[in-house]
Amino acid sequence: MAAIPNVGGRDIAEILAPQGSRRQPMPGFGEEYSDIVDYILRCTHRIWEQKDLGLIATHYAPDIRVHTMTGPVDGVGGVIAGTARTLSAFPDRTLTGEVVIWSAQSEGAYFSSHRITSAATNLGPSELGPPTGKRISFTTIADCLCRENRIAEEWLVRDYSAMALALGYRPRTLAATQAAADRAAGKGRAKWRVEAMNRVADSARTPFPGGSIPDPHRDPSAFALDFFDRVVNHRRLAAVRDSYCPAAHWTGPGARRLFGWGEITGWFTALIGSFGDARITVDSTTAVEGPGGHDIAVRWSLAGTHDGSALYGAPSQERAYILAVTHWRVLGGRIAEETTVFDEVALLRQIEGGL
Amino acid sequence: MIQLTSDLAELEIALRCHLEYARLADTHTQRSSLEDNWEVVKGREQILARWVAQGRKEAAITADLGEMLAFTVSEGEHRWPGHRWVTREHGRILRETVIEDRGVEREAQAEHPPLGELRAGKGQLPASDTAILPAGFPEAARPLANRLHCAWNGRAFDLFSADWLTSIVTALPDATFYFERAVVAEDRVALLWRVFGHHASGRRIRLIGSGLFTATPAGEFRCDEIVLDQAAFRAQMNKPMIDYSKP
Repeated sequence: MAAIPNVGGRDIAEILAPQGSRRQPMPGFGEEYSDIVDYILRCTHRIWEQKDLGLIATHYAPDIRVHTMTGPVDGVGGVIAGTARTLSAFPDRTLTGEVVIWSAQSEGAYFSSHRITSAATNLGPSELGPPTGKRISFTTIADCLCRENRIAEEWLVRDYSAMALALGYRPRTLAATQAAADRAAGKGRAKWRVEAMNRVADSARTPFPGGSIPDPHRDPSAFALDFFDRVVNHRRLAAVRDSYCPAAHWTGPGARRLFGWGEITGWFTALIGSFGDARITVDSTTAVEGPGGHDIAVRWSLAGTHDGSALYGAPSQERAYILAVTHWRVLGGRIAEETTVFDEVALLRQIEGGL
Repeated sequence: MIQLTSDLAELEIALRCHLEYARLADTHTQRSSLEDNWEVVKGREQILARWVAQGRKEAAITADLGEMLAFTVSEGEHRWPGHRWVTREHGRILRETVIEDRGVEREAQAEHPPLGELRAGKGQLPASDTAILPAGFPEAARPLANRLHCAWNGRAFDLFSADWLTSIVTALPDATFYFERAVVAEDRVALLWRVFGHHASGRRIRLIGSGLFTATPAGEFRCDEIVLDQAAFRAQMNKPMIDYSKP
């Protein structure tokens, strides 16, 4: 099988030029797609940048479920409507693919984790508020299960707090308004969220991790499972120094930027300092080899009680749920770059008694 | 002025002096990013917009180490030094780090409250004799990094003395220096580093610095130039903080 080129090393004109014959088996996929990376990048360009929203009907399963931190969206109609709303608010949105981390699944299906940097001008009303005219940049990661030319299931995380801050809004104020609307509508804690939190809280306990951390190049999945279990579930924060490059760059929700062991350890400390009984599950891991190292995608869920003020204000004692995707660039056995994305506005909305 | 030897040096002059912005389509990837002491700019189009906003300047290359440049920029009577570091991907620039001591203050972007400690896991232990360096750090630059670590983090100012260092450690008593990258070219070593520390204003100051050194026949290193953005230092003392605690 031919090597599957990723985003790295190719400019956009080369990425979007016709790629020729199939590089991997893709039963049921359109002839215009040569491999799964090409499928993800090209259909994103066609739907979002060329505004061919109708292609959503041929690229998403009719009964698709899109998982987000504000709840699942069911059916292709909801995807088309959501896309139209976002493009109305940000008509010139460009979606620059940073990486597509993928793996082959059974029966010709593929899983992909696509990290996107968007640049866009806010020219219409958005779910965050009235148009501001501001040009902003934000990160999205779309985890997709793709089968026969259609995305069958998607986990979508977007850095809404970074969007809000860049547009001049206060994330907490937005969240409080949304939560008030939730309460006024008589919505209790959403069933999907209760189920998601219970799944994480009831996940199997693991033995105290005493050995060394698996090699991320040799077994990326074992590394990811061990790292999050060790650091979050067992509070062994010192493992940050064993896992990250001392000069690691970390980007997280709200476009936070951290550097090095001390600040990254501080992030995990603050997360646990906000949700004292936090438990985490790693729900998906995927890796691809890139120049000099590996790119690893990890989707995780965290559930905990907001009983500390480290990150999100005075303790509300609300149970909270986080759906996140982390992308690591691993070089020389250590994480050199991390991007973690989740929706902090939705998290604050939970803390404010909504969702 | 030195002869332009690298494509990076040629690009610097082409962009600053001749406004040849269209070159970026060939020199940068579409997902390039640029970081300085004020912001991170993501995307080639956004980097291009930044160049256009800067306008024409006079510039001269003062050192060219291939992936690292030292230069001076002039605008009328005002002249300032700068360093540019690049990381490439298949020949195109993927990431740039730029330090310019231009002396022009802007409003610092709002920042999240600081997280974590500066001396990770050290507790009460003093600075060790060797720097903690990232994988791939050039062997030839390690002696210099270790010496500067002893001088800067160990406060052995008898090994390295400079007014800027005294000023930083005075303003930020817990200033901690991190060595991020080095480029070695013949007898010269360039070091890219960051310094974080806490100011009496309550702010965590985070600065990117860059230095150029020359090896002497005696096996020592002479410091040729350190560039720090002093205006960014001052601006960070008053930067607004992002607050999630209340609506």
